[in-house]
Amino acid sequence: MKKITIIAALCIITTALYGNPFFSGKPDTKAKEQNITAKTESPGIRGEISEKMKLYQKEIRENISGYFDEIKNRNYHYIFYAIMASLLYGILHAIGPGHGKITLSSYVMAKAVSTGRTVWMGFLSGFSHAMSSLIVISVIILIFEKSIVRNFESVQNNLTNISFAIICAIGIFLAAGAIRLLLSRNTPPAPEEKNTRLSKLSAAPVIISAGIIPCPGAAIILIFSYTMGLYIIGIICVTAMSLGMGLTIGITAAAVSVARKTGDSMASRKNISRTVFGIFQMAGGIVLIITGIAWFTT
Amino acid sequence: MKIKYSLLLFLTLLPLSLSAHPHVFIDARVNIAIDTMSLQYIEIEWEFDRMFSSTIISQFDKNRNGTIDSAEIPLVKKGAFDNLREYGYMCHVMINGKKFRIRKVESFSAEYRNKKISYMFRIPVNCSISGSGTVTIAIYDSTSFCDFQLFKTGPLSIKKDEKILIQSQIKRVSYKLDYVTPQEIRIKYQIP
Repeated sequence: MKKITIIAALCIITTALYGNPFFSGKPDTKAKEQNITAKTESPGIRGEISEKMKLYQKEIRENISGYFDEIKNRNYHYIFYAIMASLLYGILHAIGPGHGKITLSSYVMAKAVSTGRTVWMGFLSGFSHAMSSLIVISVIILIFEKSIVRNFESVQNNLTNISFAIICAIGIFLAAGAIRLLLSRNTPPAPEEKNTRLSKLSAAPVIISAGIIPCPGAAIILIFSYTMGLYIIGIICVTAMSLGMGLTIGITAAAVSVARKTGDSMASRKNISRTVFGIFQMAGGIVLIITGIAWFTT
Repeated sequence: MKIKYSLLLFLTLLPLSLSAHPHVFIDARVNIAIDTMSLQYIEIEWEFDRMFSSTIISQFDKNRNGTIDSAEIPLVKKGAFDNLREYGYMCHVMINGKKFRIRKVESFSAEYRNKKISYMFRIPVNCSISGSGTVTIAIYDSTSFCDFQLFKTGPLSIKKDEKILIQSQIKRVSYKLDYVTPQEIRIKYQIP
């Protein structure tokens, strides 16, 4: 059980969702009061991989900028390259922290959701996260043409608040269910039964909580395309990016689902399934409640 | 059983194990001035990627001439720079093992060249030094919103008194508390 607690704690520690520091927002207290003497002389394997991923993203973004130049010069076959690069950018971009992976992972850890449905939920979360940028930016361009960035920041902040309120509510819902399960004397339903009982409606808040926050990465591509006078190409590229993000988050969700199933099968063999289900659900609920509270209090 | 527990842990942490989430890519250059009495200042230059540069242009190029004029620089400073005070201007400086808190910056300037926005600013330090010691400078964003890389050519220049012996090194390190792995500039000085 210690391991599950550690997993939950790590989930909390690595949660990171922030605004654009150039325009608004404040870092958390830790960042302000940090003591940078706590360091090692090597970035380690994790750091090396992380830096490589950033460099790839940087390179892809530069390439997309170059492709837009070519498209502007009427070399229309570069549209294909721009779309492919955007798809790849979406895949890599969604690997980083945020994008609803914490919410989805916690939900999947808490609820026995089938792998297929988990993948679908992940895909929709990633896809809608980038697509909401498209909606927000397009509306801002139509209504407030001259101050896209400021209005985007404002809309994004409001939607992020709503998202975290939803995340908190999901956490409370899961924790309450866990308490019911742990106190119940009845045998818990088998995972298969849970799957059939899980309505599409109960998974919707998870997708919405990730999807309504417009992705700044997608917004930047849209603003860039708009300033180049190629907004339609921008829309196509962000759609491709959405597909890439959906793909990554779908695969991530599948990995968590497999992890959950491994845990379930180990627990059922040891005849402790009710406790394990309850603890999984409680851990997921607590992670989401803390994530939500942390957002509103820091 | 150990393997299964490891698999469980690995799969659960998979979505969290890679942090590569920047939305803004910045190349940075550092210039420091040091004399026999003090570390005088640190000058920073940031060059933004083209896409983020376009967001700055779309917001602050008020006369729509496709660049940032001198009249628009104060607008850029107010709208897309001053908030960085909250983040210590993303610069993390240690002088002989002690953190130097950046309270203000001077001489802010912005320009648009080669389709990219650059910011230039100076951090007044005026910290007394003597004998030998080490200054470290790392530019990073603990929120992962921005990715900073030092320019491949001329990332560091040092304006110094002839008598001072300087050794400099740039190395990627890991700052544990911020979960970041920035390039750290390490300057060892020796004042005769």
